[in-house]
Amino acid sequence: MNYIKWELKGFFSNHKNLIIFALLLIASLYYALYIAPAYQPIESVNKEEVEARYEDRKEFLDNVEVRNGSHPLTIFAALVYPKWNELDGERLTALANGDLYSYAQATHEWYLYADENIKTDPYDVLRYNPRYYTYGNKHAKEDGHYNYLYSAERYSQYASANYELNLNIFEERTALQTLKRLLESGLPYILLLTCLLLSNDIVMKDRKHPSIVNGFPMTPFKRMMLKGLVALIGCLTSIAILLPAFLIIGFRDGFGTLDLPAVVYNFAFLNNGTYESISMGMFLSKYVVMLLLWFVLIISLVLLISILLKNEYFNLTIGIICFIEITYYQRRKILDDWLSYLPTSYVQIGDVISGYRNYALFTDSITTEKGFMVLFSTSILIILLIWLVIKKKKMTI
Amino acid sequence: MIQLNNIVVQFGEKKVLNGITKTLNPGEIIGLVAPNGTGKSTLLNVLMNYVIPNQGEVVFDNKFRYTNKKNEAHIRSLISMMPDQSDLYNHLTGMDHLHIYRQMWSQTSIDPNEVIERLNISHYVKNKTYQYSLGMRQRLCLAMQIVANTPYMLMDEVMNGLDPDNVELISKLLEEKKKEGKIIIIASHLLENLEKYADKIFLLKDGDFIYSRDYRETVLQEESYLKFSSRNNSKLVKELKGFIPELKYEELSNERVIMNMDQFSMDQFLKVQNHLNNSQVNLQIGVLDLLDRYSIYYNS
Repeated sequence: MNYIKWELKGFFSNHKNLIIFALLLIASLYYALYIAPAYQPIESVNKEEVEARYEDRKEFLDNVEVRNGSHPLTIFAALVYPKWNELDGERLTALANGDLYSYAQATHEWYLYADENIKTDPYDVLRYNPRYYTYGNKHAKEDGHYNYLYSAERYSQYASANYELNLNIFEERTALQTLKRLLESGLPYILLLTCLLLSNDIVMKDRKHPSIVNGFPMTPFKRMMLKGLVALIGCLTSIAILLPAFLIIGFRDGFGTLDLPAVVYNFAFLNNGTYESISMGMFLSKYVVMLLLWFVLIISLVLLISILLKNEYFNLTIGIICFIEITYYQRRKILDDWLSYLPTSYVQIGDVISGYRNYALFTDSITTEKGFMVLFSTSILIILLIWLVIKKKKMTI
Repeated sequence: MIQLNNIVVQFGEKKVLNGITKTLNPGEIIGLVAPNGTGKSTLLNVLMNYVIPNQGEVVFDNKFRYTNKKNEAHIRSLISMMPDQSDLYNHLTGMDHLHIYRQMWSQTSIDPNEVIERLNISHYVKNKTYQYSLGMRQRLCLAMQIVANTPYMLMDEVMNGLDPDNVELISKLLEEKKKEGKIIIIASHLLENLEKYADKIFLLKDGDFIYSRDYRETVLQEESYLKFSSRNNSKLVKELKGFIPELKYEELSNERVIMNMDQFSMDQFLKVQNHLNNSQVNLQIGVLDLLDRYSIYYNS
């Protein structure tokens, strides 16, 4: 315990670590103050857009008479628009009345209906939200399909929610939802690389102080494990550094609640899977467990490479594991099942838990439970290797 | 008790320690003397198990050996090596260093404040160590080891960078620690004072102890020498040879001329004494001291 205090003191007075914490804090504050407010969700609550669409279709339905010989597209439109417009009408009425539960119910039905029609459109004239088709997105239809059913599930949960609803919740702008969104995008890379940068010199820093540390009365393995624990505490601190940004977003846009839905996709053949919700609390709990396993894995690797190669710069090569996945996981590529037993397949933690990885990669092999198992086993294996190396090797820095 | 049993350390073709066997008993200060690069630090490293001997073993208290990592950890709770001053953490204070030593050796350690007072380091110990002078760092390193208060203490060049006041202060402290029953091994190539506080001196050369002396025992029949040192040693020797042609002498590298007293008749001795007095050269008569022996063994 005393050694931990000593290591912690060294860790938190290390200039490199302090700079990393400062950069993380500045970046997160910048995100909270400038980037988060500018966030424009594709599936936003846009009264004008709904109204314009409603009016257009209403005018069409009021003025167009379907007869024998009418154009097939006219017949198709006359067939699908009435129900669609009815749902849009309900959404507009609910918004006008400020009844967000009714809006949620109508929107849930709207997304189900829209997706069904777009997916089965025989003439290929219906489109998901145009923003899915920007920047030459080759997977626009798949993305639209996913997000429509994702939104349908989300709104069904809102409709029966026992917490107060608001537009920020619908647009996923609350602090918890913003956090979730980040966890499903670039944040895991930042957290894992931060972990690597914080821990990469945890062993090698002793190289400059051998006559002090080599004589400490403890076994080298215990010393390594305590160093690992200190690095882990440091990595958890890097998460705590994000708290001010979380509070800023929370006070501005609301914090949300741990009961908010986090939609999970359950893969089925030909991607005809189902969408269900777990609570935000459950999503974050699973995320924290997987992130902790990742931290343990990275720190263990740093310890192992440090005692084998005795050079902290080699440790930085561990960062490659965050990006190996790109070389074998590509959309529309047929995947071998064994790849899912590599820990590198679980870098995008949020997408693994939400099931989006399976949707995007057209597979059912990447699951949260398997991720836990793979990361845990790999960590144990590396720790065993550390134990073996230390047993066989003279352990002085 | 520490037993060194036939310790052999070889780096490539070079045998640094060549079968050293010695028993060190509690309540002793042992001076390990040799020029740099002759194996005294290697011997300390063997005692700490930083260097594993090619042959032989070190036994502590008749039962503990460096046979596995667990034993190593236990032995390290009994033995400590004074840290090197260049190894201090510059961004931490002296107090931080003392506290970690107190905590790591919690079974034997003593209150840092007691040591701070004793070594007179209170005026700077709360500052970060990058501000310390060489002497301040050296005193802190010693203070760390004194705080750990292990039964066996190894010190490499402990008096380096210290002024005479502090040398005296530390000498007294080491005396006290010796009386507590500790084994203190001091490796040094600086011989001043070592004779004053060491109980035993070992001179290390070619991997073995070539001379050992226990200062607690009176050495009978040790030869006496007439010794002098001047700027004109050669001229004086030539003049002395003028009236004692068969004069046997040795000029040491410490610029001292030594002559065995047994070769002089009373008349010859009085002539030599008169001549040196007339030349205003101080002469001494006595046995060879450590400085003389060091010069004889290492600079011949």
